[in-house]
Amino acid sequence: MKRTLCMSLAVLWCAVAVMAIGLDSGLAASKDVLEKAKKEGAVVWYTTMPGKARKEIKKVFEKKYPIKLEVFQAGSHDIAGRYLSELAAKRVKVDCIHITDMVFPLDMMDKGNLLKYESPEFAAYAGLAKGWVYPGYIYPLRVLPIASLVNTKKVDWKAIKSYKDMLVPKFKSLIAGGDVGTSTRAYLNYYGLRMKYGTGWYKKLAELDSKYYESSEKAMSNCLSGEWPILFEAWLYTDYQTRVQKKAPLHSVITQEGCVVMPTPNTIMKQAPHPNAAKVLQDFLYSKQVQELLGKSIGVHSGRKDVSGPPEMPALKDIKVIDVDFRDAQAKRKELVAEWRKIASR
Amino acid sequence: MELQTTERWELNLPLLLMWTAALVATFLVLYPLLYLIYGSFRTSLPGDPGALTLSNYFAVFSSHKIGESIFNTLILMASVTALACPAGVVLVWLTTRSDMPFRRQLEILNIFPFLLSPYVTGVAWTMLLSPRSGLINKFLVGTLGLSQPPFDIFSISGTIWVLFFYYTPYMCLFISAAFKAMDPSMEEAARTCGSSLFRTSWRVTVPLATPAILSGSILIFVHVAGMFGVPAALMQPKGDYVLTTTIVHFIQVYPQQYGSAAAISMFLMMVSALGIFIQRRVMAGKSYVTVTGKAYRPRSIKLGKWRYVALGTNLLYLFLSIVLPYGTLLMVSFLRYWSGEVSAELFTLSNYTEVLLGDEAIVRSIKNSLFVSIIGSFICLVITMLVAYLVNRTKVRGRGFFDYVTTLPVGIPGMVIAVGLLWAWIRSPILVYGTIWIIMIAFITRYVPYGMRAFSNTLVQLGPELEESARICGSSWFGSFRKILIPLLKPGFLSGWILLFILFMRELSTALVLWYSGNEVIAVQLYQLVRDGELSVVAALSIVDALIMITGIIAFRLIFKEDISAGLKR
Repeated sequence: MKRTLCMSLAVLWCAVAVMAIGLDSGLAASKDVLEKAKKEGAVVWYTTMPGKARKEIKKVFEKKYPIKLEVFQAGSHDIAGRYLSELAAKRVKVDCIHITDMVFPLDMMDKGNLLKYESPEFAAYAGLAKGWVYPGYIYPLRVLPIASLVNTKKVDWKAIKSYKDMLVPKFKSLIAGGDVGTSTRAYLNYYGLRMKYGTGWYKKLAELDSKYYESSEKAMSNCLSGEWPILFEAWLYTDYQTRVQKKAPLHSVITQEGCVVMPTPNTIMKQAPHPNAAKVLQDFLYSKQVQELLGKSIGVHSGRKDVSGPPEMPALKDIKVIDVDFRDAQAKRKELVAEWRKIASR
Repeated sequence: MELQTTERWELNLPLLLMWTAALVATFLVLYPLLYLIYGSFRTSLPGDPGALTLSNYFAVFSSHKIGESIFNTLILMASVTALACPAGVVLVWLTTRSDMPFRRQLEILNIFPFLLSPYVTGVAWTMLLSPRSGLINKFLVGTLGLSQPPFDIFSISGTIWVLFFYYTPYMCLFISAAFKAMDPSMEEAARTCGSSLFRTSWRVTVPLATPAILSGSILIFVHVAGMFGVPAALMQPKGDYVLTTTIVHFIQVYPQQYGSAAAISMFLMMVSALGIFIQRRVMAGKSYVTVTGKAYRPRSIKLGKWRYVALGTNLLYLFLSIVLPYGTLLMVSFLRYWSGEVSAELFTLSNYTEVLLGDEAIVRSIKNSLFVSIIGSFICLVITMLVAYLVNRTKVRGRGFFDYVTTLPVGIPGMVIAVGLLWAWIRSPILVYGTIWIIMIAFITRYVPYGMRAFSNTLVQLGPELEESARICGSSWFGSFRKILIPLLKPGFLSGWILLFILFMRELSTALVLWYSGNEVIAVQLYQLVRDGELSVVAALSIVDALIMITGIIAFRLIFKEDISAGLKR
């Protein structure tokens, strides 16, 4: 009995010791990274993050860490082009890149241009869809469902339950969407709907004299003004920013077919001039604090299990997702864009 | 005028200055341009492993709707030039050569439409002339009981309409100095011989201002080809493309096909070179000297009963170009959002508090814009003044080359020249990438043609005998330059400075590619707000931006005690 007790105590002591060592080494690693990051003094972030969230992130980060966060905001393609130009000139200034696209990060990962870093925060992102996560490199910083947006003063949004419900004569010349040739969101929606309906849905849409925009912001403005009151593909968070925050007469519609969802990762570049500060930023961006902030300030969904969706918006778990294979979508992009141009006469 | 003097240092120093300026201007233009040309023949980005190829050109000229894009571009170029240039000439003539009432005030007001970015003006016009939600269409359909809205801004004619109001003041700024510097004795002689007012204007005044009118027309013609924002917003929704919106198909995809975008730019660059070639051919062997050693007193031409018709015409132009779009923006800037309707429930001041107090980056961008615009435009003017002198007043070999080279950037769309600038300056041994200086360099490079045209116009009109007389009387080159030429060039210099100040304040395409955290300018902030979908905040910032420029112009007048394009008093 005494021996058993002694053995149990010894095992318990060993277990506690192992846990303590493990915890200590984990803390030491973060402390070490943080110390090095402080010495680096700054971190450079290229991002497509909208203004309100971007400013709050910068403010909270710089308050929390003695590290300057230098932010460059532009469109996805501008950021990709800038990084590749820096890379070709061997003068990379950027540490972390967050763009609204999955193809560029995947391509950079394949080409060995991403720095591997397993943030402790990534544990909270377990169980996400296949193709959204590439351990050590790619986790969704924002999860962006693509829904339809309807001007409620002009159109009864409740009457639209399916994409097919839009294809009626009374909606002739009232529908608009993004240009599939230049908008990644519009292209992924085309790819997803094409899997559901073939090209038939878009052919019928073309017969209804639909309009196409090169920028989703202009499309949203014209939807709100009533010029084209049905925007058949838009970011779901637009609904939060207009209806919920501004009380504007818009409402999103997630049809019974479900919707395409785009995860948008933040990645650390291999050539990062401030790799430790980049890791600190990565931990920060994927933390519960920032993920909740993104939901409340701009209405985006989080991939974290412990963060609920933005207020007054459907939860991510309740949204039926149309699966998209991002690599396949990119491989077929040229061919499918040409196909769409023919259908839409563009 | 040939620079010859017995004192060798006097001979060399002016020439040295001019040559230095010419070489600096050539370097600024050719450095990014050569990267673009090189890039148009590469399979990859300059610096990356790759090979030389013609495939970019094949890709462009076999691309979808390229024929239609070229056709639409030419229609746009020809229509806007054909409308804006005569309108500009008429407005300038009325405000500088006639006795139209309020001409001094109207001269300033006529250039106000130029203060707003054409893209923002386009947004304002969509609020007025969109078929379903445009205020004017709704008003006309409601009051006249029309079955269809009479106007559709989403068309090529809508695009021409918006660009017409943008380029007319551009023409005014460009030619007003030439009209003011003109000796009226020739017009008076024609009038004395019985020529009617309009015949005199058509046969005497306009031909005398040919260099400026031709330069302005060519710049507008070529510049329209590089317009992106307005055609993208107004033509693209219905599937109509121009060359710049076609370029986007090559840039706004991943991986980007910069080579193909550069290949289209080569086409636009050739149009630009052709324009300057035509200008030189038309002007070759002709004299446009109107300012000579003979004293003259500028006098206004009496319009008689036509005075009030002229005033009405000018006011109508101002109503359409300022009151309607600015008024709409002002109204929207006080709304929570634009829904095609105005209601008291939507009233808010929050857009202005966000612009003025909400973000330190906006305040920083205002300071950066003022710094780059005031200093950069001055540097640009000094360089181009010296190069224009070298081109127009000396007989040195290669002056024609400098004239061509410094005009090339005008034909290249901003988004493409920005890529050339990025490729060039990112690998430059001078570490300017990521600083405010690269923004300034980019702006100077982009707007060198404007400084050149402004000075060339004025120099062509100034006879050399004034300087020659001073030199005969013993004045040095610097002396005659300072005492004779600078006072005569002053109106052109000051109007050029204001023109460049406005252009620098508004420049977006290059700033967007080259800005960096801490050196953002107002145009970048505006763009980010547009991206964020904040149309009401965009309206508020546009109004603030326009007010800053108006304040700048007024301050400029107070400091220099000079009209924007002064000279009438001389």
